[in-house]
Amino acid sequence: MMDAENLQQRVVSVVAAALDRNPSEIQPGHSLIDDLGAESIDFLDIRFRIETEFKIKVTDEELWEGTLYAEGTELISEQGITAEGMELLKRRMNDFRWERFPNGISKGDLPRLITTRTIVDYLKRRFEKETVAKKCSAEEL
Amino acid sequence: MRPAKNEMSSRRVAVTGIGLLTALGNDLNSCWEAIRQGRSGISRTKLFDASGFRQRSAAEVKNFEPRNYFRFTKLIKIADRKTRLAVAAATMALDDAGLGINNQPLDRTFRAESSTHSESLGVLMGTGASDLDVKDMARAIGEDPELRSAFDVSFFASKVLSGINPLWLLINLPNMVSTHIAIQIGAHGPNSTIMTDWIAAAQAVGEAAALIEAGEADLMLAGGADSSVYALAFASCQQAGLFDGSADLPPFTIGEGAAVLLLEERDRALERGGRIYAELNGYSCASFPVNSPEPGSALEAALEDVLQQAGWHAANLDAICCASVFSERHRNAERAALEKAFHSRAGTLPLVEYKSAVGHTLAASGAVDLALLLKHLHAIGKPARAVCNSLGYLGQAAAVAVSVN
Repeated sequence: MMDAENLQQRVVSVVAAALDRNPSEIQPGHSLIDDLGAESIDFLDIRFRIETEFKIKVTDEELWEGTLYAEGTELISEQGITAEGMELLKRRMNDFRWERFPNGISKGDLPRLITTRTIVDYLKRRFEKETVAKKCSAEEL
Repeated sequence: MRPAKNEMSSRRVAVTGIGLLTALGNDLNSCWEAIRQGRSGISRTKLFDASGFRQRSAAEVKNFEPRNYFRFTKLIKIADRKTRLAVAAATMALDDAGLGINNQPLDRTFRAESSTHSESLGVLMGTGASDLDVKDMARAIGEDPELRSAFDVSFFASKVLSGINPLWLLINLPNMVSTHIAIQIGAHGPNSTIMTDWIAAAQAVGEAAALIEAGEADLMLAGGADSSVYALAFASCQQAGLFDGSADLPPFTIGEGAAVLLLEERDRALERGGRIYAELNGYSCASFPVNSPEPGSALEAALEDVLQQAGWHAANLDAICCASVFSERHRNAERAALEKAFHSRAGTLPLVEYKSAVGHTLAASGAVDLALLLKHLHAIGKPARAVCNSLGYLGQAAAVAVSVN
């Protein structure tokens, strides 16, 4: 199992390379779009680099929707993020600049919530699941 | 018969800036200084290992750092090598004309919304093929160790090609050279790309000048960029027999390079007190069937046309820049065309050539030759007239007439 710090570092260096930034500039609470200048093609690029770095295949949906991942919580309504969702996100992303969204967060704003943590969280969940799966199959044997 | 150029349009076209990178140097003056000293930029390839080919040398650009020229450095990742060279040459051409980023705020000068369309800056470049990022493809094919792709195209498409870099298309699209120049410089005017291989850059210069004459633009960055020092290009040259060589000629040598001229409506240039390197007095291109009994006939037609446009006689030319140095077939075709068009023995004409020093820069060669020819005309030290030839692999040809005062 990969340790969390190592995972974070590898993700940051992938994102830094894709966005032509120095890894030391990138904070966990930085929005890839608003703070680091990512554009649409950069998200394709980052996904590909993550796949190459971690030798995995991942779809855009799996990778980027992790920001709103919370099992059993309905975070998004037609209007955007629900009050419950906002509360959960603010708790989880306490270093994010929420003042950027004085009028709440619409659906169109969602990509602006993506940070390196989005990727790290996705990878953690994925690797945990894989470890559990391996354990289970080992027990079966 | 076409009328002379100055009877057709009152708008004349001047060259007011030049940016050049070749194996001889990373700017115009160092390239020219090397030419004067008789140096060659050709050496064993360093960009890739060519030891499996009959030709193992090339004329490579050395010590090139794209970060010195890109305003938006993040885009370097989607710019292939020829695009990077092109952005550098375009940046230097604008700086040379006193219109660069360091000279005045670009936004004020070129932003389309703050000026009329014709006031804006356009880009027209000749470029060659891309290396298609074969390494990336090879990595994807490596995921198919049983090589099922070899006989199952749909498997190849769905399983192997889906593994290539999602930015592959953006990197390899042929119009990326002109696109990246426009993005980096903020050029909002006409933007296009010509891909006629060995004559592409000459055509780009000629067509860009025509846009200015027609009033479609006042300023055009025009020229060519090519970087074909990679295995696929070497393989195609070898298979086409270009590396076979002939007894009395140097072997065909691929060169890398980018040359960009800033073309400017002459009155506008004079008004702003810009330095005028040269005036473009004529441009023509022609294409004859490949199996034509006279392989140089397209060039002969282009030369006759260009002299007619300029209103010049062959006897008044101070220099003729030859396109063909390496291949016997092309060299003979060019000689024959020159002798017919100028009614003179080739040996009596004021011929110059640069490919033996900078290699054949393929789609960039027409503009690389033109940039060096203009330095030559200035070195003559008096009003001078010249013609610059471009001859394509299959006999397609272009000629550009230039003069300095």
